[in-house]
Amino acid sequence: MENPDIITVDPNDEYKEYYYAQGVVADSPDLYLKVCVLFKQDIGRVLTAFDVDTPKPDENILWQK
Amino acid sequence: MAKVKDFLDEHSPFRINPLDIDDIDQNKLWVHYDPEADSIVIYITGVPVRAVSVHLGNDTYLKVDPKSGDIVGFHIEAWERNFTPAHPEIQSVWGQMKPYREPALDWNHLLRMLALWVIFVFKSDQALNQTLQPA
Repeated sequence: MENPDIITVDPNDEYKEYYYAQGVVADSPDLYLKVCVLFKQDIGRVLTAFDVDTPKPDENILWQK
Repeated sequence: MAKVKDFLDEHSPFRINPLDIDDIDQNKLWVHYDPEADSIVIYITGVPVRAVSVHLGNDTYLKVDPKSGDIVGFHIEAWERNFTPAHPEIQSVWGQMKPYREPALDWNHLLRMLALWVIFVFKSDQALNQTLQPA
């Protein structure tokens, strides 16, 4: 993912960040691709990625377009 | 810090077809627990299929076929951190299962049994009943 729409942080784990991009899921422009990244010593590693209908309401926004 | 719910509409645009959990074939449960992500994914289709995670509340999602609207599975984040502590019976069983994690031969069987239990927990949640019961 090169151009996320929203970046959030887990409300219970400051080292887990979530990158959301809308319009990148084939045939489903309203969906978001959610990429979960774990940071350790400033190095991020992708844990998992999946399609979601909406960003999770309780996550804290770090950045948004 | 602002939260997502302060800016975005929480209502899903998805049409989700009712699911009768009595129709779920126990032999077609596919389950995977990811310890790093602390998430568990359950498919009722035998194998993973293309699906969208539709947020239900807290850390739970339905896995929905984006074309048909059929429920094809369940997805729970913060499994050990939030979900099992909120369901002490499952937490107890999970605590006994964990030492036997892969490559133990019975691990997949245990996971499928646990998954069935989790699905019934979903059903018992009043918030889900309208979604999971036949119309």
